[in-house]
Amino acid sequence: MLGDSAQRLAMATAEHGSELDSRAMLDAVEDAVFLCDPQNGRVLDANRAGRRLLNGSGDRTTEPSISDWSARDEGYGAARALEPLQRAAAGRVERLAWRAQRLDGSRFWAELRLVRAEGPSASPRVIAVLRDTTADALAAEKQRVSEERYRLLVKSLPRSAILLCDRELRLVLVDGPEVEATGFSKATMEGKTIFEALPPEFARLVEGNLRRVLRGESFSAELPFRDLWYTYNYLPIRNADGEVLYGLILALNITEQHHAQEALRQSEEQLAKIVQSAPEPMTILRDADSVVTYVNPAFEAMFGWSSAEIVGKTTLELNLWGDLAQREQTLAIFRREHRLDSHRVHVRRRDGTHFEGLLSLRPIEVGGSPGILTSFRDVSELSRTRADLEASEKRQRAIADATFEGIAIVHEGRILDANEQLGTMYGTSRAALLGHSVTELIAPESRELVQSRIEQQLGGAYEHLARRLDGSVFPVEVRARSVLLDGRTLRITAIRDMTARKRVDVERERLINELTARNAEMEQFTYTVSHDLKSPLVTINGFLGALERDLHEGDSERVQSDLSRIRSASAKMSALLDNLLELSRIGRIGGAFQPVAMSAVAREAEELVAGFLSKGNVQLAIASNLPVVHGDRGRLVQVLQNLFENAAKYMGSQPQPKVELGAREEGDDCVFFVRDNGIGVDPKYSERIFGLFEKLDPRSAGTGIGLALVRRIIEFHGGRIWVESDGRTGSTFLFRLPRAEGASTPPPEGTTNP
Amino acid sequence: MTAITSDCVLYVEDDADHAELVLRTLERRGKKGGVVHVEDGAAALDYLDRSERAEVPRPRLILLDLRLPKIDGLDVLRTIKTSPDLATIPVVVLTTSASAQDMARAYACNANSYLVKPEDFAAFDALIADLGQYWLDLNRSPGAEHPVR
Repeated sequence: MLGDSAQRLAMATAEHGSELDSRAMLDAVEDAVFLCDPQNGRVLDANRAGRRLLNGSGDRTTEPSISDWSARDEGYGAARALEPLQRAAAGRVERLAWRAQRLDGSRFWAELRLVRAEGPSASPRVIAVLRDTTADALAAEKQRVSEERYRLLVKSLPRSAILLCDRELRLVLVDGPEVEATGFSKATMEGKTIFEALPPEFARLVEGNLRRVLRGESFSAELPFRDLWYTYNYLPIRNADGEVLYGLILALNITEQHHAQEALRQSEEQLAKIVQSAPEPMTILRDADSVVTYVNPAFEAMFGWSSAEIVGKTTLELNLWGDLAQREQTLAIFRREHRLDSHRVHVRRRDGTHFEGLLSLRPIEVGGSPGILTSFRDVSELSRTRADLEASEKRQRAIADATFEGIAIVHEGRILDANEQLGTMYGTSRAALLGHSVTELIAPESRELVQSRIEQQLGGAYEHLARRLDGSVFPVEVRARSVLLDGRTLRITAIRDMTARKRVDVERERLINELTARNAEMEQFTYTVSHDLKSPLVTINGFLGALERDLHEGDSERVQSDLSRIRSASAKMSALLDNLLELSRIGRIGGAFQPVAMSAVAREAEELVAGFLSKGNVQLAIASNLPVVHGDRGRLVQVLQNLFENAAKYMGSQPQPKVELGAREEGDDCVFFVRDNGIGVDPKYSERIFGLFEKLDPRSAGTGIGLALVRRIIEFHGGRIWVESDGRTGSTFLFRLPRAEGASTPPPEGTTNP
Repeated sequence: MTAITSDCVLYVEDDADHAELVLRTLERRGKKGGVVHVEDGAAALDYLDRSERAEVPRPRLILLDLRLPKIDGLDVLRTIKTSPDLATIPVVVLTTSASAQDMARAYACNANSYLVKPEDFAAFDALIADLGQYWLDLNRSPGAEHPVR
């Protein structure tokens, strides 16, 4: 080194005393060399480099000093050098870092070496060698900066620590946030050996690694420290000559990553287990060539191959597809959409049997390379069940369509399903009824009833009025039941058209009523006949006995009276029998029903009663334009005849007895009236007078059958007869008859035509 | 109330011939004196009404036909037997009806007797004679002094 060579040169100069030579040599040296007085730091002599520092040429008036080439304002100068100069004068070699200054004022770091110069011991001299160390200082600065950077780096690395160890395993540098975090401190660790600074077992662990680093190895290791995990990066730090001076340990806390990795590992294990035990057959294919890389046991079980037989082959090689076109299709979809969901495919087992299933595909990464996860679901069982279901449904529908009843399945007021018959019943088709509102199929008057039955979920049969789509109404019998199906409350309703049965019911009701009426009439008839026919017999027999006695006694006046009574009783009996016969004929023997002009009927009746009326001086007025009715002409003549006679019979003391016939039309009917101004009928007898053998006045003429006969005829025509009277000022007999609607009008039911 | 006690018989009959026959028979037996003949139910009730007001004699016997104009014989009977003042008067139903139903109804209305007019003259004559003898001679009935209350 230069410093050393200058020193040796100075000493040699002193030894040899050959001044010229030594001066020439000294001048050649790059370092500045001065001869100084240790007493005051004066410069006694300098070589060429030294003189350059002093004043260039060396010609100067004042005595030069150390201070002349020092940065005096930084504390460097003769004063600072005095003590080292004294020590040097005493024989020691002194080395000082010196801040030197050139003539131009520029400064530099230097090493100042002080050595005693040989000479008289009374006034020793000291040789000062000033060597520019700027280059060294730069290197040191560089190192300091890089060290600083390293510290910064470490500080900026979260969860890290840096340890620098020298060859004696002494920690020369400890830094990083992780130091404090683990309970250590930078201050207590720096300057200590690892054995002093670290827990013993950890120190031993680190020692081994450090020795490897100091041998020049560079490596990393993952080790736990307490419950934490660290990655330790071991780096050797070398000097310029390549010698390893330090071992650097960079510790990174990877506890979280470690735990995360552990969790990942565990979850991967679990996933593997899930796939392994999944009931659905699954495989993993390599994306590149569709080679099977994994199958789960469910796949083995379903398809009949073992994992070893499948893995490494493609599904094509295994002939697993029932339809190769489907394979292309599913793959195409997967390539396009990067997934496939429940695609229906036909597949083949190892034994050659085919079945149907739903295939799903998903992309999956396996070991860093793309793969396809397949999952498969056997639906052949499901399909079979569905087929069975469809067949059963068809059967059910066939049954439903074969019934006479309409069947509807109703959900929330709408028809979910129906049979054909229901469509026919409502005047439409089954299809038209589907989704149709039920309310519209019910006649408005029945809606409340039906609604309440539905709300109460009542079962059992009931009747209501239904409405066809064309608005026509018909009676139905309904049997409905609410059932819970698939979480929905459905109402299953069987509907029977009751139109025909209703008609039969009405007809039956009518027949029963008629028979009951006839029966009652018959009873009454029998009773009255037994009573009223017997009555003249009692009279006849009684007066025959009386006649016998009167003849015997010779009472001729009484004989005449007896005979007269017998005659009239016999005549009465004859009339009774005639009338009864007439009455019994009504409904059994009669003319055909036809349009009958009542004006003509009235005229005929008038002729028949003309004699009777004129005897009582009764006026008869017949309205003109009487309507034409539908009926039996002969019977209708009887009706008017009887009513005229009846009116004339009960005139009482009326001085101007009058009878009038008129008519008015009411809808399809005609109402006729026979009004008189006679004694009238007490309202309480207004019904009784139409009974058989009912006479209000025992002395009145007639048999008591007349009005009964009239009523019978009117009723037989489907009409009605009644009397209106206040019981004092005459009475009006009214009867209603159906009006004729032309000659073609058919006779009403029940008419017998002999 | 002053009841006129007499041999009065109220005879309700709408058939004039039958009435003549009955009256002749009663006349022959000397029982015709007190017989009052009316021709319908309304007239019968009217008479009884008047007898209660003592305007006419109270009958000690009522002969009642069933089939009567205006008010039926059964209604007349029911009225009599449900009236406290009249209920004690014996009522004999005299009719041509031999119907069991009529008979049952009459007795249900508390008729005291039910006689069917025979068709045979001799039987008729004998029946009326017996009727008069039994109800007017043998049978006794309370007067109006003892009404049912």
